[in-house]
Amino acid sequence: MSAPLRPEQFDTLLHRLGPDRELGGRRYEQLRRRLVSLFDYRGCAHPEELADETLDRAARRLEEMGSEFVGSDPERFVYGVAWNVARESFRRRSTVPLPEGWEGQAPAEPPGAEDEERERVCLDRCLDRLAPAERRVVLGYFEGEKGARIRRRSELAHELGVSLNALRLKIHRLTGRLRECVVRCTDQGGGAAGAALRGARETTG
Amino acid sequence: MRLRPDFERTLRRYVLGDLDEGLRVELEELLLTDPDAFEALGVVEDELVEEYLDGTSPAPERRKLEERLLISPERRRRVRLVRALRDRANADQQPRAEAPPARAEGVRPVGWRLAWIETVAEWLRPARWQPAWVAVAAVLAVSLVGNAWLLSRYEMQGLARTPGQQTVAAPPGPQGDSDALNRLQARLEREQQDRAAAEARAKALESQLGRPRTSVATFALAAGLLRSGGSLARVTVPPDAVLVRLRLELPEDGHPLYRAALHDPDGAEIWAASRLRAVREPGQAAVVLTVPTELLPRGDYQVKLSGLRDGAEPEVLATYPFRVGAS
Repeated sequence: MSAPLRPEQFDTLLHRLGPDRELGGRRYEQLRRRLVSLFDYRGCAHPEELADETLDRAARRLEEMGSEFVGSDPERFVYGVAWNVARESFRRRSTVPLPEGWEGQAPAEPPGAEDEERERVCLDRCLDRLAPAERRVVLGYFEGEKGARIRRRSELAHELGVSLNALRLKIHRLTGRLRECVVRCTDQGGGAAGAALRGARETTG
Repeated sequence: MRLRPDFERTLRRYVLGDLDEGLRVELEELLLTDPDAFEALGVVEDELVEEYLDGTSPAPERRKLEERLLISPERRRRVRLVRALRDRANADQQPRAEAPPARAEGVRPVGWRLAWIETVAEWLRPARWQPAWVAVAAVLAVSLVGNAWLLSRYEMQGLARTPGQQTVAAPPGPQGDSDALNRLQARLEREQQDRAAAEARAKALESQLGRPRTSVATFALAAGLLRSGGSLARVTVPPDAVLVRLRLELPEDGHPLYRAALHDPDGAEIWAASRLRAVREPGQAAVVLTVPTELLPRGDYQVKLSGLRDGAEPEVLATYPFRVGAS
């Protein structure tokens, strides 16, 4: 078990990631999200924990190295650390002994109808908090069935004066914000979509 | 933005687990260090989720999606969001009283209801695997090594780097990233051509010879915690095995269907198959669980077997602990 990260170690990493603390913090969050995704695709158990471990380890190492760190791109350095963390996690996983009287835990249950309904209520609230033009674009994008939907998307791109790829990207960003808003809203019991969407806007992009 | 058709194809292959390890490592580095590339991955994932919901993905792709994309809670949430957005958009389009059924026709139930586990298990049945040959694998390996050597001659410095290295060959920034992407793409295309040629050679050899490239190792496990000697049942997976078949001896054979779940040492369920039927042989009935070997590195595991009956809760019948050792 490694010691908790000291504030100055964390600051060293933020400083490497961005010229000021705020930008560094945003890049830290983005980097963490990317790490989680890559660990996930690698089939690692607990990708979020591994992402945190990677960033903590990188922060410690960067502080130790100080001016000896010669790379101009800390993200590549983090990638190297992530690779080691992933390898260690596989090794760890394969050598944990079976405890006495071990009984497997019940697998996580999929969300029930009630949870889904709560998510839908939150989605409605989060959609209502979008700017009207954004809301129109996102609902227009998902409107219709198969062929009709594809035609609708071309029309939408034409109306907005953007390419279809630019529209796809816009929708990806909007749905990312909505997803974060819905998660926060459901975590807060479904009553705080406005604050959740504001929070989502701050952490994405 | 990285939404170029060739790069999108690469990203699709990454999501579906079809990239070779070398390319995968390089792509992962790009995804981690280039926010645009990572955003392109998100767009491709969105598209795959939509194809999945539309039911338009080809069956093999659909299975891979269920196995890789939908296994993550975060990505399953994405599926639910897209489905809810579609429902909402279509409800806005038509008055609610006349609204069509909430789910579009042709939309199959999404994977998180554990149906994917059954689908994957079905896909893993040996009969579905193409026969191939150990000799073919060797020929392929030699061919790929040769191709890799040839490719390496064209490599630019940055792409030859191993993942753990800290040195930065090119300065960061759009131009550096773009060069890296182009090199990766060029390499991917060459690799695709080489692989197609190697696969054609393999196919020709397969038709002449006849041994399977994908071997399946089978082990019988008895119910109970430990063997009489006090040690765990040992499973030694041969290096060339792609699948491990665990034959779970039934303490009692009173259920029409069974569910078998493999748990790792932390207790997490890492593989499961449902609606399994007992194989009845004189004196002993058993249920067979097939597991990819990549899920079984050295360590201790446990299979939990439950009996299924219509309208009743699954009934836990037995556990089968075992240890995977070195081959």
